[in-house]
Amino acid sequence: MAKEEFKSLEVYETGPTLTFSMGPQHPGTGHFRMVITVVGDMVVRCDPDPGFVHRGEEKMCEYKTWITNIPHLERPAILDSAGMTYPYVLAVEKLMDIEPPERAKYLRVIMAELQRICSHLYWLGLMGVFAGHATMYMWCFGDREYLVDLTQLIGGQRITHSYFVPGGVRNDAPPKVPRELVKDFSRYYRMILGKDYPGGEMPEDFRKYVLAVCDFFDARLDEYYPMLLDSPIFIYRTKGIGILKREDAISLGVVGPVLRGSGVKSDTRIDEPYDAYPYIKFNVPTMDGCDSYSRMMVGYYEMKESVKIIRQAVEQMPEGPVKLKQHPVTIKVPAGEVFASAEAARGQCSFYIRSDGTDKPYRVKICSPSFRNLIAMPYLIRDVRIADIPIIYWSLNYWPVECDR
Amino acid sequence: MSILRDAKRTLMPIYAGLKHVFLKPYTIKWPYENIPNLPDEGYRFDPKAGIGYPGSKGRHLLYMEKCTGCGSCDLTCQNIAEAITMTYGFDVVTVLDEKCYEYFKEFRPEIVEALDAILSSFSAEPSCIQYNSLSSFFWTPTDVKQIIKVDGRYEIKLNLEPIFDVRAVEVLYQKVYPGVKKLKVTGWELGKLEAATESASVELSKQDLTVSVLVRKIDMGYKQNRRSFFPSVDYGRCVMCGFCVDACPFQALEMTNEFELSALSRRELIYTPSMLAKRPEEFNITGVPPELNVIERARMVFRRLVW
Repeated sequence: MAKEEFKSLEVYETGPTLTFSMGPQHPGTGHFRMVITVVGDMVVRCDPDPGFVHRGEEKMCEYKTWITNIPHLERPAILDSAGMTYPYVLAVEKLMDIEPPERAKYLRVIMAELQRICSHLYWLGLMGVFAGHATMYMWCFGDREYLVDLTQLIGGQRITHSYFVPGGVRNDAPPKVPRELVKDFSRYYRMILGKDYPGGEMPEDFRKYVLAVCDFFDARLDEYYPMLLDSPIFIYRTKGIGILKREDAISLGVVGPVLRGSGVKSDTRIDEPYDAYPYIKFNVPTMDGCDSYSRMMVGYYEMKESVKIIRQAVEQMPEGPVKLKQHPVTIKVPAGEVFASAEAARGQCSFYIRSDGTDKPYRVKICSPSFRNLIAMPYLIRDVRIADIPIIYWSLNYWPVECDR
Repeated sequence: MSILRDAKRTLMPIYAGLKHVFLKPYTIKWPYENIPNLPDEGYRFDPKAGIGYPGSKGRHLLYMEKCTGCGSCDLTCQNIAEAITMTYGFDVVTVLDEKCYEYFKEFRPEIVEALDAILSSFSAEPSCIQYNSLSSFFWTPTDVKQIIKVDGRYEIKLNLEPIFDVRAVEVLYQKVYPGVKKLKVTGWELGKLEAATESASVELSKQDLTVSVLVRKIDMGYKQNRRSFFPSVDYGRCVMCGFCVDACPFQALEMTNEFELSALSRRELIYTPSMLAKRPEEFNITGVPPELNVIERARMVFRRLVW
């Protein structure tokens, strides 16, 4: 912000103002600064200042090959690494004119939805912290472990699996789950659901384990509702705070849960279905409240829908190969340009890729969901109290690293 | 009505939370307890089928009898994390001529101080961390392993683990020079330096005495890898994506479920081929801290055992 602009803010119609900077320390998710002008306790102006965690991902893509781009493209959103690499992989596949095997499509959907839940749990948990509710943080991170374990069984790591590659996925799901993990999990399953782990003769079967985790997590989500989302403390802090009207949401071009929280039914999984999503039945939850509470509730209901998707994908998943036969590291991509988008946890993530037929992309343009939701921030953080800033900021599920790329 | 609803809303979180007070805690007391969620197997890749096998992506496991030193893993990693470097194993030999050997047998101080300086340079701490420099950190106590007579000169082999590095001259500069430079005070002069990729040597002379330090490549005796050229991994850089495993056409690289890779210095995170060849169970440097007594350990797991 220029010095002249600062000066112009000093005398405001309502009286003497104070301009100060919120950040650039960690306001919850990454390094980000807001220049805030206040009159007394009321915020009259907010200027978001992103760019503290800019990594030059787009330029880096031009120096790395098509496959070796995948590990670093996950880094902007580590909780939702599948959401970031999904559109890249879809775009490269479109350019190569190949289609992954059926089983790979379902495995991708399972992985993407698992990571969507992980990301939303982080959202919900930290919302508890911002609203002064420490139990929710502990609960969300405790339950996230079982979902992270599942991604570790499939992808090999807790986060940043580098699992999706053009032409399928890197490995099949394991046939069996470690016995100790089943033993450990079945105890919590009994605690929460009040019945035995439905393993039968084959308790280590992967498919049964995933379904059991889905049941467990569904039951836990029901406990979340009275704990945080229906508690009066949380409602008084979020309801009617940060209202983004339906028309404003559309004209500002926000995406994901923020747009759906304003009552617009828009989801890339339904609008432009890709991979196995056309074969799976699920709803797109929307709320008409247009406030922070509605956005939070959309996130909560999306987790329920994701559980539904995982359950269906695991049951419908066919047998067969999971990857096209190709060189594992060096692939040939013909010249051309392509645009592809997928629904990441924070909204629609799009990639524009231009290839000149060499082993590296000519240009990669990333349009990440946080970058598109950032524009709503100065509109929402206006005429609110200072104490409401964290609530509005985090209800947008803003992730600075993903925005700066 | 609204008062009743608010009262219910206020009491429900307490009820939902109170239930969990009587349940067993979720927390795993690592490292006092095992982590159950680790897959037993590591990530592997079958180059014929072109597909990976699911498993944990932890520390690498190198099969030295399969590795041909082709450098595919290095080439792939150059684009990702630059963690892998292809290295040779080196041996350090001190060569004495007839006269020096006679002096050495008599333990004359002139020759003893020279040998002492060469030995001490290996046990010294590295002065600074140099990026992109791969050197093994495990120095065994330095002493003389054996003395052989070759062409009228005596070669003193030091009792060292092989030093892995990209070039022989790097070993000379980083490992031998720090100690040898101290000899200048007592009148020794550094002679000509012969530097090449696979061997390097430097001559030290004082009056009529001549001692040369020779860095030689070790032949590990693998038929498929005559150059003895193996990958080293810097775990300060590795992101554990496993694309090096995919790139290996001979199934020589695998990943294991070992994830406890913490170290006190960055140099310790550089794993040499001989370390990578060891299975995690042979080479487990972490675990329950041994300094804790039984009661302290029991207290840590007490909470979990009670319920």
